[in-house]
Amino acid sequence: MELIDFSVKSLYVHIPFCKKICPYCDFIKVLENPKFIESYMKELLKDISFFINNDFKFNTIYIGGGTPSILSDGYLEILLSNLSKIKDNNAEFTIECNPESLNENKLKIFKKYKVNRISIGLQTFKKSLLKTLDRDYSIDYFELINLAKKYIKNINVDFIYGLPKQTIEDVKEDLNKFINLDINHVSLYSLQVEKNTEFYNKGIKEISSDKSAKMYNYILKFLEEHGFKRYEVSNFAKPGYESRHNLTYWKNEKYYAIGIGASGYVSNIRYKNSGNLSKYIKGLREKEEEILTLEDERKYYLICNLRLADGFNINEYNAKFNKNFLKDYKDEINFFSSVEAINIENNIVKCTNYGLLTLNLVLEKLL
Amino acid sequence: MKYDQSRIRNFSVIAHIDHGKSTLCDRILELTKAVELREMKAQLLDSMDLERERGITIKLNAVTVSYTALDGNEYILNLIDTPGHVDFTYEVSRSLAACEGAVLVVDATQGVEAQTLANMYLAVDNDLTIVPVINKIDLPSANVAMVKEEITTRIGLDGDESVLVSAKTGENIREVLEKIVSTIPAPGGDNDAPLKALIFDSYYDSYRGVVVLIRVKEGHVKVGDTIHFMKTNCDFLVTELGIRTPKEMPVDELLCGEVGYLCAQIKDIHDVGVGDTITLRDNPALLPLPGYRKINPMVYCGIYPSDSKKYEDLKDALGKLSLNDASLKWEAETSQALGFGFRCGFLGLLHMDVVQERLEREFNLDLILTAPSVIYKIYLTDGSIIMLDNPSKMPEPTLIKKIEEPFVTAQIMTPKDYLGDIMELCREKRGIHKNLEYFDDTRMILTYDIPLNEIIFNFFDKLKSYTKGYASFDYEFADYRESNLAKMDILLNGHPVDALSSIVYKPSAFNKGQKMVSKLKTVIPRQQFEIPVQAAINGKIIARCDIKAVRKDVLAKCYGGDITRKKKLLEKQKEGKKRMKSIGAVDVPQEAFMTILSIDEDEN
Repeated sequence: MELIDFSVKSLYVHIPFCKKICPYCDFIKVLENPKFIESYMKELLKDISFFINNDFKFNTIYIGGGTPSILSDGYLEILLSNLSKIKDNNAEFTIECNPESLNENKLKIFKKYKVNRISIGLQTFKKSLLKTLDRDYSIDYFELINLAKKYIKNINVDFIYGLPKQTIEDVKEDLNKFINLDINHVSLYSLQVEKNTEFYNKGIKEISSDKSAKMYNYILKFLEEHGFKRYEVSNFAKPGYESRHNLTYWKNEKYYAIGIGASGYVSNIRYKNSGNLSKYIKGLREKEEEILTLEDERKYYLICNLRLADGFNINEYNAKFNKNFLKDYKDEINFFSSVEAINIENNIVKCTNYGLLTLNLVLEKLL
Repeated sequence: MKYDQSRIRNFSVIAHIDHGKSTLCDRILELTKAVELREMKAQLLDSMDLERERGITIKLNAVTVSYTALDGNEYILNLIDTPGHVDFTYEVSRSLAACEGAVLVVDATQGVEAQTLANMYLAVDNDLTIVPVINKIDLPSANVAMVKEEITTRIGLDGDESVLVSAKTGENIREVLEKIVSTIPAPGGDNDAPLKALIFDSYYDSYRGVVVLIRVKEGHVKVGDTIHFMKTNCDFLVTELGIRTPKEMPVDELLCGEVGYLCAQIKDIHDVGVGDTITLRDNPALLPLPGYRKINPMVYCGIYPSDSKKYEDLKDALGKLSLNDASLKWEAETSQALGFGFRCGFLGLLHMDVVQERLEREFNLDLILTAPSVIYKIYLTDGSIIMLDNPSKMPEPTLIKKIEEPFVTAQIMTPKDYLGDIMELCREKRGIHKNLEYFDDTRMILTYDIPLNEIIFNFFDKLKSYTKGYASFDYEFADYRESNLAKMDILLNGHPVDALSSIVYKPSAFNKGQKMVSKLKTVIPRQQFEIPVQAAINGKIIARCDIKAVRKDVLAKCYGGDITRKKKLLEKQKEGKKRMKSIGAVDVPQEAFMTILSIDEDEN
């Protein structure tokens, strides 16, 4: 780890192992294998020791995957105890779990090391769709979440919509059941069929954009009626429960990333660690780096901040990049106002709901 | 080799497309050892990549070889290759004017076809001696007896005199050469007369300037001579002369009857007119050679750079291209939708296609072409007449007395089984039936007068698909005739788009308009607002369909913290949009401007 930047306040830790490979997933992941896990954890701890030795104190730490919750209790203890040394007292400390591997013992370990947020990939309640996703559909999500709540207050669940054969009725059903879980954060992602996934190889197609829009708008309306605020395109939370870690991404702030395939942003460099497991466990650290010019940073700023429902402040933008947003984008602003894609009020630029839905077209004109 | 005018033979090879002309030329070059075998690329005379890829000859090309005949004498053979497609008839006639004879190649499996006849007439018009050759005799489906019979009865040559060859295997190629030597006359002309050399082709070379291909008809020319171009009225000092074997081989002089190239530090391509006569400044000929009949392009379209900054590059490229493509015409024009570009005239659609590809490939340009149009003759109420090559420039209907459009006489040769289908197609294309005759027991020749405009829209493709490729087709300009025509405008988001205007036959306007707007709906991507697409005639909307606003395109997740990937995707998307033209806030892709060409495709 050659870059030291104490102003970086967030850390992402990647655990690439999974029991099964989900047919839609294109993150870096490998099937679990005790030998690999042992070597990987050894290397990962080396990376963590860099932060310990330099006395970092992060505001947010996020352990993602893969499936971090499939680690044995022993490895979880080691990982969490080390990470707890580099977080400050009020840090948001999140670990991703899947329903199959989460149990009371692990929740106890989380609690012990002050993990204060968990994110569980439920994807859907519907059994036939869970089957399509090759998931264990015998688990009772209500029991599971109630158990988790005994240990951790701040819980997120992930859902996918736009699955093959999923109807708008199925989405409504998922939302109704979700409300009964009585938790404070939910992420809803429309299915994207990416290359090198089982869905892609099977020729599964994404649903039409019209249908996807219809589902999204239903989701938005439903969740707003139930006290949730959309703070980012796909993320909804009750007030005070927004993910601070994810907000560092959206606000174009810096974060370290360790583990294979993980992406970070430190100083003026965005990097992506190599996804090569065998090199990693041999102690090799390779990464692709993109050194950012001020213009690059400006583009990233727009890409990220416009995903936020609260948008960004023009003064901040102008000062950061030595620009004049209103003047530079006069024509674009007129156009986006006419199609009701963005709103500018009190020096705040934000997308309307339509703007968020067609954010690619908005960004394409601004970049 | 010693110069002996009586031992020079200048000839072309003419054939229907795919009858094996270029392969035969290759074999002749091989046999005369003009080309070392290791240099031999298939179809050597087709020097453009495009020609070799498509297997067609576009540009004529000349080669000088020596051949020792069975009589023991050495002969100089100048072989001038010709294109075989109907679009390039003019190029064929250019090569023929530089020759005394022509080898007519007929495919033993296909027999005489419409194009064979057309090229044959060109050769006869030029008083050439014809050597008939029947090619592809190695194929199992060859029917030599039948083809001989056709050559006798249809062309009027002695079919039994035909040389039977397989250009593919090389069989009997020597006999073709012997026939050339024994039947094609040596060039006439007086080596001591004042110089008259015909320019039959030219191209640009960045080191030597314009390279001119000439046939010396009278007199001779030497390096160091001051020459005079009789039409363009310019003088130049000859710096280099040579022959192409096909490698360039410099010589000191070109004598009467010879074919070769000439360089004279000619920097301005406009100084060289193909068909012009070169003479000597100090000993000029009195009259120029007949030259070429001026060729009039039949099809026009707008060519625009997709990046408006490339206008000058496009201009430069057109200049260089037209240097060795005399039939390409171009002049600057402006379109509200597309900006600055050029209106270009072509011999036909294939020619247009070839020019587009050459511009994009050889000059690295990214182009937008508008739909092709023929030239309409507009009679105005004030008595004046306009030749209209751009539909968007059509005058107000109240100022127009009548409109005439060009008709062609088309000859279609077809197996009789397809007669009904072809007649139906011609009727659909507003054809007027003129004649129907048996060509032989199984094939018929149909003659129709058809508006050229109907020919350029899918006629050839449909003819091929209706007849499984068996019909062949040739046409020539007939005359202008009054038709019931109107300009159809296309409006995007309420704004007329000049580059999408077309001239349509009124009774089918409604149908065309419907198809046009529905096709545009599929070609133009959905945007953040609803876009009405309308077709209108004289301001009256005749068809409409709406491109609905895009409802959702956002990628829900952002790949964990991998925002770099997101940025790359957006930049790629933006790059794709750059290739589109923004018209009244609507992003319109290049292919939209050619929509009218493809609106009938779905029926096929």
